[in-house]
Amino acid sequence: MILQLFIKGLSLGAVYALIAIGFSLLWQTSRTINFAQGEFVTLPAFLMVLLALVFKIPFALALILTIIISGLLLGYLMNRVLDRPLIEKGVLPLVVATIALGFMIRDSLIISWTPEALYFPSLVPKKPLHLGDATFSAVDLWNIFVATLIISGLHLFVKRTKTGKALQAVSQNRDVANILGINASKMILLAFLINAVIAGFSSILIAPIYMVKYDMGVELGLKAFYAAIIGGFNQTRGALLGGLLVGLIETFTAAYISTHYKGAFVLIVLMVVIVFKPEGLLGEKELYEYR
Amino acid sequence: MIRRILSICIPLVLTVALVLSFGATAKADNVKFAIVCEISGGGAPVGKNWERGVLMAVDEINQAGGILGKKIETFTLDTKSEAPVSVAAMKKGIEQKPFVVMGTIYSSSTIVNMSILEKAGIPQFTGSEAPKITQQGNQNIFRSSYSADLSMKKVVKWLTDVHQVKKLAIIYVNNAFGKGGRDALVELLTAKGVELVSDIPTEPGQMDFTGELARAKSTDADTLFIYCHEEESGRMLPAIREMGVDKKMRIVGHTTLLTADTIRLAGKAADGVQGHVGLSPVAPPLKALADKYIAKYNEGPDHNFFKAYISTYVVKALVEEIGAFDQQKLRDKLHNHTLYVRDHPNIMMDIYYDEKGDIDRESFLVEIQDGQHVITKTIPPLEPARFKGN
Amino acid sequence: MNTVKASKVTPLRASIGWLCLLGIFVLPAFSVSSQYILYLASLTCIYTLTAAGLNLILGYAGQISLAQAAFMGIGAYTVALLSTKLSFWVALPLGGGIAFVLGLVLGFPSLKVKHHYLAMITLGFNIIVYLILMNEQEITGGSYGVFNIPRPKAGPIDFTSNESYHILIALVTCFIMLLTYWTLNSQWGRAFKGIRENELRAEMLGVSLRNYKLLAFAIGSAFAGIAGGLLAPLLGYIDPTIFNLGFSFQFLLMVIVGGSGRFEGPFIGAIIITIFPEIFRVAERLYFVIFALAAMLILIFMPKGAVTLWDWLFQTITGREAPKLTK
Repeated sequence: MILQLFIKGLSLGAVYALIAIGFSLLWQTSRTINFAQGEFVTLPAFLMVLLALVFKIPFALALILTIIISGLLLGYLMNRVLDRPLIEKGVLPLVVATIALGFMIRDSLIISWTPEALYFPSLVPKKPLHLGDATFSAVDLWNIFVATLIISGLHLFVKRTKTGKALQAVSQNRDVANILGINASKMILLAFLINAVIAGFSSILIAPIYMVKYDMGVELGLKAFYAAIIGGFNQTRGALLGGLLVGLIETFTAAYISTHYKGAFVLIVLMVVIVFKPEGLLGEKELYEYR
Repeated sequence: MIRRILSICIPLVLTVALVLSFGATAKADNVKFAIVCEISGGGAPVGKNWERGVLMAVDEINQAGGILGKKIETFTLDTKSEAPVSVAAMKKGIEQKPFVVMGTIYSSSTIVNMSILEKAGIPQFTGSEAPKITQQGNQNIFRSSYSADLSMKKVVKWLTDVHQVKKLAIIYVNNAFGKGGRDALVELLTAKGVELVSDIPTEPGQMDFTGELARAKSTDADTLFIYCHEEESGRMLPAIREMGVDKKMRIVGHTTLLTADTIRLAGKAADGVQGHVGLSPVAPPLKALADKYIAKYNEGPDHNFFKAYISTYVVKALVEEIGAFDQQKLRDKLHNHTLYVRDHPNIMMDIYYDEKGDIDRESFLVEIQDGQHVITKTIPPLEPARFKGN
Repeated sequence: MNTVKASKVTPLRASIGWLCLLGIFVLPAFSVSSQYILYLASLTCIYTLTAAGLNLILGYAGQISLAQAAFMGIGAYTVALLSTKLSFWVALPLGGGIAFVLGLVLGFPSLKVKHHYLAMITLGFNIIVYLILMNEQEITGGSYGVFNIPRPKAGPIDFTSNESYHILIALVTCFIMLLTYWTLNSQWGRAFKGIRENELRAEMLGVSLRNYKLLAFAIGSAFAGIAGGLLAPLLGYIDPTIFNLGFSFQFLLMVIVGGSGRFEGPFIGAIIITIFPEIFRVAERLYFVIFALAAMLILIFMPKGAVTLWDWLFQTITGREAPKLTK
C-alpha cells in the first residue's frame, strides 16, 4: 500500500512541480505572483478539447497548436498587456490583476462554452499495472517521466546556454543584469513564454485524471503556490522538491491520518516553512529587495 | 461644458435603466412558472437537465392549449450552485409572482431558500433529496424524487437481502446532500447489524481521491458505497479501477453514481457498477420520453430531467383537478394524494405525495453495462397500499 | 484648465456629509418596495464594512490579507451560535472581539514577512478556518450549517422585518465608518499612512511599526467579524461554504477597484459588485467577466481606483476638487 501511495503521490506531485516551476520563474524574473496560474492550465486543456475532440484535428498537431496558442495568449499577450504596465507599480497591483484575470478566464469559459466537466482521453492506457501489492496505472509513470524530462530540460537550458544564464542573471538581480547589457524585459518575456508552455504541457498530463472543467485550475494553482513556497521561490529544484512533497503529503495524510483535514496538513507545513525558513527548503535568501 | 453635460447624463441614464429593468410586466392571461436551479457551478449538469425537463413539459402543455386555457410562461434564475445566491435568486424570483417555483436541486440551497417561498405562499417543487427538507413542517414544499432516508430503506434492503453485506465502507460528499444520505444509510444499516468499517468524507468538486480510496481499500469491507455528485463520481470511478479497489470490494451507489453524466465522465470505468435509482431512461414507462430527449439534445437525459418533467405535469394535473389556479388549494390537495397514470398519462408513473411532501412510487435496481443502464429489478413502492385505487 | 479650488472639510460639512451617507444607507428601507433590492442594499452595507476593514490593512498599512472571509465566518458563527444563548447584542461585539484577537495572532507573521508569504499565510488561515467550520460538527453544525438564526430585538424595538433589520445594519455600518474616519484623522491615522508611504522614514520618526501594523491587521479583521455577525441574521442561516477563499478574493478586488487607501474606496467597490449587476441586467451573465476586465483596466489606467471617477464627477458638477476625507 505504501508503494502504491508513493507512486500516486509522486505522479500528482510531478504535475504540481511542473506548474510550480513556471510560477517561481515568473516571480524570479518579474516579481509577478501569478494567482491565475491555475487558469494557465485550464485554458490549454479547453483548447485541446476544442482542437482534438471538437474539430477532430490529429492529436499531435492539436498539441502543437495548443502550445503555440497558449504561448501567444498567456505568455506574450499577458506579458505585454498586463505585466509591462504594472511591473513598476509594485507587487500588489500585479497580484490583484492576476486574481482578476483568473476570474475572467473562468467566467468566460462558463459563458462561452460550458460550466460542466468534459471528458478528456488519456494518452497512455489507464490499465492497472501491478508491482507487488501495489496497483497503479501507466498514466502515473508517464506523468512522472514527462515532468522529469521537462524539468531537467529547463534546468539544462538555464545552466548551460547563454540565454539561460542571462535569464538567471535577470532573476537574481534585474538592475545589475541591465548594467551588464542584458535586455531584462526580453528575458521577462521569455520567462512568460516558458511558463505558458510548461503550463500547457502540464494541462495535458492532468486533464485525463481531473477532467476538463472551468475551475480545475483553482486547486492546481493553489497547490503549485504551496509547492513553490515550500521548496523555495527562487530555485528550480526548489519547485521540484516542493511539488513532490505536496503530492506526497496530501496522499499520505488522507490515507493514514484524516480525510477531514486533508487540506490542512500541507498548509501547516507551509506555515512552518514560512515562519522558520521563509526562503524555502532549498531556497536562498534574497539579498535584492524589490519595492 | 461637455464634461458637465456628460456628468449629469450618466447618472440619469443609469437611473432610467434601473427603473426600466423593473418595469417589465407579463401578459395578463399567462401563468408563470419560475425555474430556479443550478445553471452554473458544480451543479451545472443537474441544473441543465432540470431546466430542460420543465421547458419540454411546458412546451408540450402550451402546444396542447395550456392549463385551463392559460399558456405557461417560464423564466430561469441561476443559483450558481451556492446557497446564498439561491436565496437572492428566490427573492428575485418571487417578485415576478410565479404560480409555482421549480427548484432548487442542491439540498444545501433548498434547505435555506424554502422558507422564502413558504412565506410568499408559492408552492415549490424541489429536486433535493436530503431528508431534513421535509422534516421541518414546511407544508409548501414537494419533492420530485425519493427523500434519501426513504430510498435508503430500499437500498439497505437490497444490500442486506441480495448481497448479504456485512462490512461496508462509505465515501460521501461532505454537504447537506451527501451527509444527509450518509446519515440515513448508516442509521438503517447499523440497525441491521452491518458494520461500518470506513467512513470517508470528500469535498464538493474534489479532484484527487487517491488517499480516500487507499483508505477504503485497506479495510476489509466487502462493499464500497459511493454517495457523491456526478462530477466527483466521474473522477472517482476511473481511479477506483486504476487502484484496483473494485477487485477487493463491490462498488455500489444510489442515483448520482449511475447517471448519464457520471457515465459520460467515467467512460468504461463505470461498467459493472450497481445501484438503486428512482428513475432510469431505460425503464419501460420512461423510454419514449428519454428517446425524445436524445433526439432533441443528442445526449442522454439524467434523472433530474424526468423529475422536472414529471413535476411540471403534476402541477398541471392538480390545477385541472382543482379547476383553478389556487396555490393554497394546490398545497392542501397534493398532501396525502395519489396521482395515477391512467388519469394523467404524462406523469409517467403512479405517484403518491405524503403529508410532508415526500413521494412514494416504484424504483429500479440497475447495473451499468457498456455505458447503459440495465434494469435488474423493479422495486415496488414502500407502501403499495397507497396505490390501491389502481 | 484653470486651477480648481479644493473643498475644505469643515466640521459642519463633515457632519452634513455623514448625515447624507447615513441617509443613503438607510433610505432603501423606506423607499424600495422590492425585497430583493433591499436585500442587495443590506449586502452592500455589510460588504462595505468588510472592505473598509481590508482597506485599513491594505490601503493604510500596506499589508495584504486574504482572510477577510474567514473573519466574517468567525463573526457569523459567533452570532449564530450565541445569539440564542446569550444575546445578539453580546454576540456581535464578541464576534468582532474574537476576530480582533485572531487578527492580532495572524498579524504577527506579517511583521516578519511580506508579499506572497503574507498572502499565503492569510490564505492558509482562511482554508483552515473553513475546514474547522466544516468538520467540527458538534459545535458548528458541520456541512449542514446553522439554521433559524433569529434577528435581534432591543426592548420594544423589533429588528425582525427586513426593513428594520436593514436600518440596524446601516446604523452599525455608519457608526463604525464614523469611528474609522475619526481615527484616521487623528495622529494615529497619520502614522498608518506614514507606514504605507515609507516604512523606513516612519520608523525613524518614531512610529512603532510593529504595533501599528498589528493594530491595523486586528482592527481590519474585527470589521470583518462584525460584518459577518450582521450577515448571519440577514441570511437566517449560515454554512461554511459561504466563507470560502473566493469570497476573500472578491473583497480584495473590491478594495482595489474601489480605490485602496481612500476612505470612499470600499464603498464604491461594494456598490460596483452588488448593485451594478442589477442595473446592467442585460449583461447579467457577462457581468463578472466585465467586472474582472474593468478591474484590470482600472489597475493599469487608474492606479488609484474607481474613486478617481468619483473625484472627476465631483469636480465637474461642483467645480471644486473632491474633499480629502483623510489626511
